[in-house]
Amino acid sequence: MIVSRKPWTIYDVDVIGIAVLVIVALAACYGVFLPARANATEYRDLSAQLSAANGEIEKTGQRLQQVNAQISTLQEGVTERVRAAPRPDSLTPRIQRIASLAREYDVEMTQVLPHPITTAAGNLVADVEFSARGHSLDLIRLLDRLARENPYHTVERMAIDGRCINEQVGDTRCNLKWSLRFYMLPDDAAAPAGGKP
Amino acid sequence: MLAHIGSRNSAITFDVGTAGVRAFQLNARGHNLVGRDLLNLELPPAQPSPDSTEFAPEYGRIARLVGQGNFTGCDVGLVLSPPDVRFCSLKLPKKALAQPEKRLREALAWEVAREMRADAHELEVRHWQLPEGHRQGTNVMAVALPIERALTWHQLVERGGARLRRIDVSPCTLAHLGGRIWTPENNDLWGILDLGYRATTLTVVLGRTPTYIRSLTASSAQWTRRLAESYELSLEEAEQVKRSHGIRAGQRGLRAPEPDQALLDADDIPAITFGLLRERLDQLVRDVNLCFSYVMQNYADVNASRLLLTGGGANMPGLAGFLELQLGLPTEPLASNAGAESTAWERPLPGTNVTPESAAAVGGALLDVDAGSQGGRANPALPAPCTVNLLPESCHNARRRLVRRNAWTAVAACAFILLAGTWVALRAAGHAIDGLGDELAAVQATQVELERQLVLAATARNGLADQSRGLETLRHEQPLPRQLLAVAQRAPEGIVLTEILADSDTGGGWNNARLVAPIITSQAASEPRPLTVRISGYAVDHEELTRLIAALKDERRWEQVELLRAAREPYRQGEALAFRLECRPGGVTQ
Repeated sequence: MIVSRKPWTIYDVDVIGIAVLVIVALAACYGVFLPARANATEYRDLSAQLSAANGEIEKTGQRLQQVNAQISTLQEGVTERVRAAPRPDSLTPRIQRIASLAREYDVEMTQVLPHPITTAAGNLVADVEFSARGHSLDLIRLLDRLARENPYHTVERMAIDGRCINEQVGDTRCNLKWSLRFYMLPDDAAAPAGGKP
Repeated sequence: MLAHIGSRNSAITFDVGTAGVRAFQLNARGHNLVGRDLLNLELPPAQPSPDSTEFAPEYGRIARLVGQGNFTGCDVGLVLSPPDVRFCSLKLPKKALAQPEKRLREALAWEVAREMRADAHELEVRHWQLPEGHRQGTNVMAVALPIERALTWHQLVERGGARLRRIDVSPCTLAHLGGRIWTPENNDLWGILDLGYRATTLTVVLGRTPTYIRSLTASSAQWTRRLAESYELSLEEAEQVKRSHGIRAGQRGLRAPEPDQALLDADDIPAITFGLLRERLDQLVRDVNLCFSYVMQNYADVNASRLLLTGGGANMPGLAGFLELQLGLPTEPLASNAGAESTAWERPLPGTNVTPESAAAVGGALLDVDAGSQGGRANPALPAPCTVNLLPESCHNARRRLVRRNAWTAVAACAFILLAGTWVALRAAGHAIDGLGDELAAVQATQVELERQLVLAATARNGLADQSRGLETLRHEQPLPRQLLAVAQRAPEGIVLTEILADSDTGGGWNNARLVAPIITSQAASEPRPLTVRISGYAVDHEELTRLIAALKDERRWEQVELLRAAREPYRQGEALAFRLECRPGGVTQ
């Protein structure tokens, strides 16, 4: 059936075809195009978020790796230090060692007075007072030797009194007193458990 | 393959007659025309009633014929002859001829309908203009076909899966085909006698334009019936006698048979047949003469040049000679191999054996190509052929509508497929986005887990660092012995030290008699206090004391070396400068 003859011959199928195309176009617009645009936006956002999240994961992973490396280093150091740190049962041998070194340096020990072991900041601390007679330089050398041999103690007090020298009887020795503070780990202190979180 | 590029085929052109159906298709490649195939289906002469003018096409047979031939395409052309189509020469004013084609057709339809006593709306009318100079003033040849018949043909062809592209008329197709034998001049008057089974049509052509068309009373069927009655034969046998023996003018008068001669010899059959048909043949000659005379009277300075015979009746032996003898015109069948005496064609059709009965179909296909219905005439150098296409406008419109419907269907299908594909892609994209969201959630969960692990690791690291620092507090640097050794080495000669006290207690005064047990606190245990050193002794003089102070100051650990006391006192047997110094490390104030 001819719908229109001028200016162009239009058949009924043309009208139906155009109507179908319009319907398809509308369906494409509302069913495909607009959702596709929304999808594209969502896809871009998700891609950006994913990319950022991956970047964050990479950074976090690197940081975690660094921290794990630090943990390993620290663990080794702590293990080594725990292993090397003195324990309470080593106090007596150390005092004996000091006495032995004193004899070596011509320092005559007259009194050794250990104080009770106390706990401070999780560590054990023991003060030991020494009294002796000898030359001042010998004492200083003794203390220097002790410092080089064992860093786990400090000189708390020291007194060299040369006023008691009696040159008339040939005794040029001074009264020597010093106090050492020994630092120790408790017996139950163990090396840190290894392993990464 | 490449040879097919640029070639085009004519419509499969049918000439549906009572005695047979002929189909022909032509392939045109530039100016070269080659027949693709020519099929000729003979129908039994007794089947259709010779007197019947009822239209009863058997398209099923035609479709089978098409299937047998080497044809291509689905376009079909049809060649119709009188009485299916009617011709009327009309006299129209020049103003009427100048009207638009549609108005002119309407005017012609009214005129023809009046002549045919029919309704103008039931006729499909076309026309061509006659050569100028007609003394009676007729200037238009109108051809009319009942629309219902055209639509019937159209529906039959469409039902067969083909498309009816053209409906031509045999006078035009035959005149066009005759133009390939020779090139007629404009004043050449020639005729085409189409001897059909039930009708004979004479077309008188002036130059290239069919000028006068008349249906004659003679017909091949009449001749066959006459022979059947006279010979007391069946129609098939009479037809066979007619075709095989033909006619030959016999000797005048009666002659007695020879003693040793049979009463009737086979050689006498053409003469006997001629005698039987003589009356009808003479009538045919008179009719042809009248027609030629009529045209020659109406057009001045025209020369009757020849008569061409077509149709199944043209194959009767002796007919052409008889007509030529009687009419005084060169007469020959319109065939490509009509015999040694026939004219050689100026423009033959290679690969095509044109016969008188197939001439209309061949001419129709040729006309389809030369009329340019397929986009350009095959030979533009020749004048435009005289042709009409009686296919009704409604068929064209139906065809155009069908084409558009198919196009719209294809477009809509493509649009639907595209839409469906896009929708599927959209769904896939949606799934991909969902997957991306899931992936993002997984990545974010991984990130949270990693951050948790990082916090745990940092906590563990800090714990280890604290532990390490705590262990580090067990180790302490002890510079005092080294410092005192250095001082002892660098002390001047005139110095005697009597007392050295090292203590961190700076506020309560020195008590060198006893060492007080320390009160150990966490702070004191973790951070050893710097020791302040107090040195007492005797110096020879102030200069020696100053040098001692300088030596003490050289020790960088002691930032402050303070002389507390310096006084002359008796020492041993003499007198010396008694002094007391205080050396404070950095961070210790008195």
